[in-house]
Amino acid sequence: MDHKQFKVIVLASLFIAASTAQADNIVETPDFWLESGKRNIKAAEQLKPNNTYAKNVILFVGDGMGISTITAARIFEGQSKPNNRGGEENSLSFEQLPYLALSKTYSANQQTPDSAPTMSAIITGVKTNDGELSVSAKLPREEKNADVVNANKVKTLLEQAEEKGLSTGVVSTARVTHATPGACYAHTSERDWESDAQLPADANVKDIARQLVEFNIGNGLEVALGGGRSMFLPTTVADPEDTDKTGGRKDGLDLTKQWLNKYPKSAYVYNKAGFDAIDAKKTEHLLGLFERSHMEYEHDRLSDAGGEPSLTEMTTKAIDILSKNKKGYFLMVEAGRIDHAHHAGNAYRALSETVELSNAVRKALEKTNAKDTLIIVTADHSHTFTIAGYPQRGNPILGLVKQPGEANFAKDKNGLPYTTLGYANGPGYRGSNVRPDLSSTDTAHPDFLQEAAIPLGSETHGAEDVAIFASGPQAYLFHGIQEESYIYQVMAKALKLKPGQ
Amino acid sequence: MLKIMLWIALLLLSACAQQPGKPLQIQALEQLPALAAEFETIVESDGGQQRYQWRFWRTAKRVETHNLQDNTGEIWTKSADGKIAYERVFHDQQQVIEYTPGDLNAIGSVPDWSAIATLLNQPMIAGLVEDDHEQVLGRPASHYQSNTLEVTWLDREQLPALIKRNDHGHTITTRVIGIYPLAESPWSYQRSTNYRYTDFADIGDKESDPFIQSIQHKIKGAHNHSD
Repeated sequence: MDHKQFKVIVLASLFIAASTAQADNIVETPDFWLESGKRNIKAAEQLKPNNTYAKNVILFVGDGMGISTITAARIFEGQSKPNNRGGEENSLSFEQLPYLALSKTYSANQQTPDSAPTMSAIITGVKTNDGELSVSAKLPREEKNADVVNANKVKTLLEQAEEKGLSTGVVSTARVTHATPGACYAHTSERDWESDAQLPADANVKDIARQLVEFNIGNGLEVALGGGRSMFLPTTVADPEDTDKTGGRKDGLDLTKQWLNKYPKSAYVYNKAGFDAIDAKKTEHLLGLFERSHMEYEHDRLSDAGGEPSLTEMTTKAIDILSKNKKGYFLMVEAGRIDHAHHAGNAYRALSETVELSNAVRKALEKTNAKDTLIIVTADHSHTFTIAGYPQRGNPILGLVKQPGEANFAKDKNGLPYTTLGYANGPGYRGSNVRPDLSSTDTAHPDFLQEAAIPLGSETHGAEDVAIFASGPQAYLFHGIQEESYIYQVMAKALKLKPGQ
Repeated sequence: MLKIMLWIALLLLSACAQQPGKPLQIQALEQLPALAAEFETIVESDGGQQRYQWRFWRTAKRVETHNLQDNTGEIWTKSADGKIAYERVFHDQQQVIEYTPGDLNAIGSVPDWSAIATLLNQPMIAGLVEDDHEQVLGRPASHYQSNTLEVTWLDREQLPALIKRNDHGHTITTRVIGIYPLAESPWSYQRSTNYRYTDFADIGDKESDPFIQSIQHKIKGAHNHSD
């Protein structure tokens, strides 16, 4: 399928979506379903594999974005649209991409993985142990000897792209030193060693922030946008936003200055005003650190004192800077806080973060050409998040279950109503006695915690497969159920890189 | 004439007798004096008595507590834009769990600075009526009472000297045993720079961290909107 065909399909599906959104008199008759099915068959028949090489690859990772999260976010966004048919018929931007596969996320040593080995698998093609970034599974966790770590390094796609002369970037709403972005440019036996303050005294490996700034393959990363300022500033320097706090580095290094000294035409920004002032045409290397730690949740972003760009705005700026390179670019964009909201047991924020990821993907699709740009949207792992009960069509996704034709909420064995969304474990556990009566609780409130069956201080990851959506060159290779490490193979093939070299 | 005056006097006396006592009023939060205090809390029930001591430091933008029994503490800080952040401190392990305002929102925790800084929240204050005056540790104090609560309030320090309440068969009594202007505090709240900080948002990815496993039951992550 070439770019034109892809755009026709996307536009057609957008037209269908717009038509259905506008036409509030649509009745879902048998003809409606048969006709829409025929249109979708026709679109599928027009799909032609794009077997060319890609100039650019953009990899979107929704951290913890399991399939139930995608479904619930689709309904959450759909119910906010005018004239919706219940919200269930909505599609997030990346759900309209033509190719799909499932990804097996287990790590070398765990059935249910964390973000370190999963992103390592995606970006290197090699599965490793939990907590480790872009190293072989032979390396024990928390190995402190740099020689041993270096001997077990596994090359990342970002490094290969730099070697080939492409521009590269990482964007995240988490810290740029967190596991998902970190696995792209760093090699370490412990994901928590983000600054020297976390390193054991007798370790001689470099911390992750330092590996980012001292990255010396090709001409270095062009873009690093996200949170994590405290990993880059020393304890002797006051934070520019939270002035009563300081940086976290104990070695006295100011890595933001190091970035500026290292690269000509470079910039470091820490708030929205500075970010907006960046001229992509004149900036070759941009470091943006918008929070001491993770960036704000999208729901809370506008109330941030210093101001922060959205994931969509960061993606846009990154593409503007990277696309100046005629040879092409590799960009990794992470919606890092879907995972954090789920860990907190807060579905509202997990879903609003997912909708913002969808917005960022939509913008990337608009700004690129499907003929030469492979776009992949996936998750590193899932969560214990469930959509349950038998709610009627259009029932508020954050609400209590009300079954079709019923005036009252569905009740459990104790006669109490329950929400559609919930967690198998986490902070939402309400106690060992009878469940709370939620009849008069605003379960759609952004701060409401969905109930959980097992009490844990933090909700856990889930082990089921996650989805891979793709468009562009070699995207047709995404089919069936694949190992998570297969994503690397497709990206490497699309960029004409030799896997592992 | 004498009868009329006597009747007016009786009327005034009766009006005074019927006038309810003053409610407890906390002065502007920005003006709360900076201080350090030590409290003793006793929890009594049929099963016996538990007693523990804890310290309290307060400035306009920061409140810290330190439970001397389990050597843990809490720190609340208020930023210029009024947002509140929280830290749970484990001194024995030299570890701190940090909660940003966004983290607190995400777990449905809505901190009340007045309650943090004065140890009394609005529902507790609502029913209190002044019924006496006294001296505590040589400082003027007013005594208040409601159906469920007894409070002795240090007027100048704007802090309770006593909170006594009955709760689910327990009698919980918290009593001040020492109080100082912050600059004269005999107890320092300065910590070693070697403490390890962990974001609450990162706890979910530390499933194999022995420290995180050991404090799961002690950290904030509750479901209600007021903790």
